[in-house]
Amino acid sequence: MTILRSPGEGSYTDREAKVPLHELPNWGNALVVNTSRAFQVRCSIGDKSRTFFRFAKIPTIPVEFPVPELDSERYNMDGWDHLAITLNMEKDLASLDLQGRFGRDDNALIVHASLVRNAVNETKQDLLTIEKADGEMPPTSIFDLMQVRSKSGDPRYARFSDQYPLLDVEGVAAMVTRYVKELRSA
Amino acid sequence: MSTIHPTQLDGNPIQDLPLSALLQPASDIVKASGLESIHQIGFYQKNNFQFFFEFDTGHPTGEIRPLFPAMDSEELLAEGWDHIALELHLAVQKVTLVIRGYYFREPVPLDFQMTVVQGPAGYLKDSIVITDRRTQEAENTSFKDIMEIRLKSGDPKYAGSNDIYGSMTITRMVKILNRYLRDWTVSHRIIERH
Repeated sequence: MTILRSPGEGSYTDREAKVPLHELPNWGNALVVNTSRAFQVRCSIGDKSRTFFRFAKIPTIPVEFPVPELDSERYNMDGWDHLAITLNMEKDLASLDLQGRFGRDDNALIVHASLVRNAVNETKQDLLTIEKADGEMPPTSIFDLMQVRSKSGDPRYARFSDQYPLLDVEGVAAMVTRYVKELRSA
Repeated sequence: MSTIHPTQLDGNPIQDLPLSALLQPASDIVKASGLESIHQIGFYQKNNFQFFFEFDTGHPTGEIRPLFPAMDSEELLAEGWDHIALELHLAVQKVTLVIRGYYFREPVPLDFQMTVVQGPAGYLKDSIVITDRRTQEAENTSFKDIMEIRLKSGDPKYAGSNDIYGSMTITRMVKILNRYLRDWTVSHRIIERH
C-alpha cells in the first residue's frame, strides 16, 4: 500500500510567505486541466466557518493548493457578521471575490471586492463597492485604497510590505477590513 | 475482501470498496493533508454534478488526495432521486458515510438521510431517517434493519443472498437502499389519519 507523506514527518516546509494572486494559477492549472473546468476555493467566516474546494468532476490527481490562511476568530472580532472569500481558478487566471456584511446592526455595510489577475500579472479587474444603509458609495478599488496615506505618510490601510503587483488574498482581506472598520467608526 | 490498489490512492476514484477497506487510506490521506478530518461530498442532480472537499478548521499544509466512489450519475438519478449527496468523512481510523437527498415517486416526496460510521472494529453508528414531506413525520430505521427484512420464503427482501452486513461496498449499499425506498413510497402512498 502507498504510504503518503505527512507534513508532520518533515517532508513539507511551512509556507513562509503568502502566495501572490497571480502565482496561484501555477498551483491551480493542473487541477483545471485535470477536471476540464474551472474550480473554486471558498473560505467562509461567520456562525460556522468552513473552507471548501468545489470541482465539476472528481479530480484524479492530488490537490495541492495554497488555501488562504484566514483567522476566522479575528475577522469575527473585527466586526464581520459574515464574510466569504472565493477564488475562482481558471487556466492562467485567478479571480478573488470578497463578499460580506460588516457590522451586526441596521447600519451594517455590504461589502464586495473583486480582484482578477492572470498568470503574467496583468490586472483584469479591481473593484470595491460598499453599500450603506442610505445607499451605495461610489465604487473604488484596492489600488486606490493602497494610495491612501496617513498624515505621517504611512499607508493608511495597506501594510508597509504590501506591493500592488504582489498582493495576496490575505493582504487584500486585511486591507478591506481596515478600510470598512474606519468607515463604520467615522 | 477488496484491496486498495495503489493507483486508487494516487487519485483515481475508488469503485466497489467496503468502508472497512477505506480506514487505512483515510488515515494516510488525513495525515498527509495536515488536517484533522476531510469531508468529501459528491452532489448529484440532473445535469449537475459537483464534488467538494470541505474542512471546518485550519487549512491543509499538505496534499489532499481524492478517495471517492465513482457512481454513475444517470443510473443513480433514474431511481427516483431528485438530488442526492454522497459524503465520505475521512478521519484517522474513522470513515463516515452520509447519504442524503430528496427522493420522489408519485405521490410520495421524502427526505432521506443515512449515517454509517466505520471504526476499526466495525460500524460505530448506523442510522437512517426518512421524512415524508407531506406530513413532516420522520421514520427511523437502520441499514441493518433493512438488510434483515425477509420475504415469506425467508430470503432477504432487499439485500442479496451474498451480502454481508459490514462488508458491503458503497455502490451495493445504495442499490439496496433504492429497492427499499421504492417499496417505502408504495406503502406510504396513503397518508394515515391519526
